[in-house]
Amino acid sequence: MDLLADPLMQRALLVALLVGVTSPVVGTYLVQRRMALLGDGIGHVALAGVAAGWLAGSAANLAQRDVLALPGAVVFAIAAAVTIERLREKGTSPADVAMAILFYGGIALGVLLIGLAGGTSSNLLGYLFGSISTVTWPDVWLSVALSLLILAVGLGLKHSLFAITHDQDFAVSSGLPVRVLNLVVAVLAAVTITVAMRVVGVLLVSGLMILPVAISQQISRSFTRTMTLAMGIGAVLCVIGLTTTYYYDLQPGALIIVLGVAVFAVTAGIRGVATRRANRASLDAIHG
Amino acid sequence: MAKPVPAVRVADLHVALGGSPIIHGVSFDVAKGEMLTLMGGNGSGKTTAVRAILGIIPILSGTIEIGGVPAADAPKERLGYVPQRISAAGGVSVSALEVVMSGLLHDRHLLPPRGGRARALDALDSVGLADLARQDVSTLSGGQQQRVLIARAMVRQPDLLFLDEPLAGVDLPSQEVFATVLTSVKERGATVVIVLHEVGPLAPLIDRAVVLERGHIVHVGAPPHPHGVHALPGHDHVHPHDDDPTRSASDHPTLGISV
Repeated sequence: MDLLADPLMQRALLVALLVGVTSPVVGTYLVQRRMALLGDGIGHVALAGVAAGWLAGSAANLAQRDVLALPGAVVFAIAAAVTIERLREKGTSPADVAMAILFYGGIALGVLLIGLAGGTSSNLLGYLFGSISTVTWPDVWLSVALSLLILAVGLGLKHSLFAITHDQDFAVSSGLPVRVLNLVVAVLAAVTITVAMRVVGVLLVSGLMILPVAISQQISRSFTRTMTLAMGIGAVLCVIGLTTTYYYDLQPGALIIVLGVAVFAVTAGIRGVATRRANRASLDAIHG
Repeated sequence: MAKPVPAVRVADLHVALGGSPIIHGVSFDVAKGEMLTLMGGNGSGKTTAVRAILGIIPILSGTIEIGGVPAADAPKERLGYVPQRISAAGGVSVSALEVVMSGLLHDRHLLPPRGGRARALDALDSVGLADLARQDVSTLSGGQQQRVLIARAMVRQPDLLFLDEPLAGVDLPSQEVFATVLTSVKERGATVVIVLHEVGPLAPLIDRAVVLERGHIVHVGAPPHPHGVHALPGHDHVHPHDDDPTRSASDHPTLGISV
């Protein structure tokens, strides 16, 4: 196994595995709340955070100008997530309008800021489509720390987070701290996106959060099983996708998402056939 | 002798939704152990009143107390709520057991207590759904879904229970389960506030009715009987189901309830 001996692949595989496991945790809550595209909105603002990090790095004359890109993305993504949550809570703007404002505002601000930092839009390409081959050991350790945080909170508070995403009115009547827990989901989404950004890029990050859940949903009949299976599917997709790109010159993020779409299409097809057969069997039983 | 603290006190309650006033200065008490029904036609404000008491929607002004303390500060550990229907918002499969287990969480417990799973299974068993505990709730019938919501409320063994039109669109087996549960709740001495369009088969259990019309109280006292709010003067809309021989609740007017 040449690839396991390669330090670059060791780092890349570790990050991909972490991202594959953690992304569907938050994705399950977002799908449950029917906010599957939230990741896209936050991701676009995270791009502005990347550019702001570059600008700060340039202003401080740092040797590596993008060293503050990831922290910048974390700060901007959390701010975006909290803003979306507040808009949703207050009903100031419809959720889709709030999301669209973030989409375009985030991209535009990112391009403007990277220009001010003396860079070009091409510097953002790695963040738009992922650049896992450039992951350094400090990136890996930051990803490990953030992933452990996501897993600890996302799984530790699973029952409460399920309660508020499943039936918010009941959660309010039960006295659960709904506002705080909603913010927890939003912040978890923001952190997940900044971690996953290096693997698949902001344009595809939502896919990694949602596709494993959509695939798992074809098979599972409970929330816990959907989440658990989605974590496994996410990990397998990321590892297979990344491993394939070691042997073939393909873009890892795009391949991971295309694999996910293909697996979803197959499982949805199988489920459709199985449902039709079950319906036919029921009909036959009724009519003898 | 000091007057006993009511289980629920609503005083001069005003509520607006989307800028439109819905409840206009409504006041009523619910005594401990009492089963009170909030009645009224569509748009009378009965559901809004319950949602305001539970803190689900904000109030414009007024006072709401539960057990003598402001509702927002009152412990929710033994407070149950059965909404009209199961949340349709979710995009992920959810098992009946998971829904019921969420009833074990409240202001003092962000995680289910030890033995919570067994309690949730017991609650499902009490509504006749133990066999369907692992079934996706979206695949259950409307009546079965309503029973899951009742189990979710009952898993807390509530001292105060709010129910919002629990019989609306519910099949006969589920109505029977519901009547059994409500009878046991009453025997236990719990306080119940139940929103109903008409008392129907639950009449023997109801102690008192508060009837709302366009956000104002128009009647407090014995429940309008036998056709509930429809018997009130001025309530003149047509009731096509009155002569419907297939209507299950008419076929079984008391569902075996006796008090």
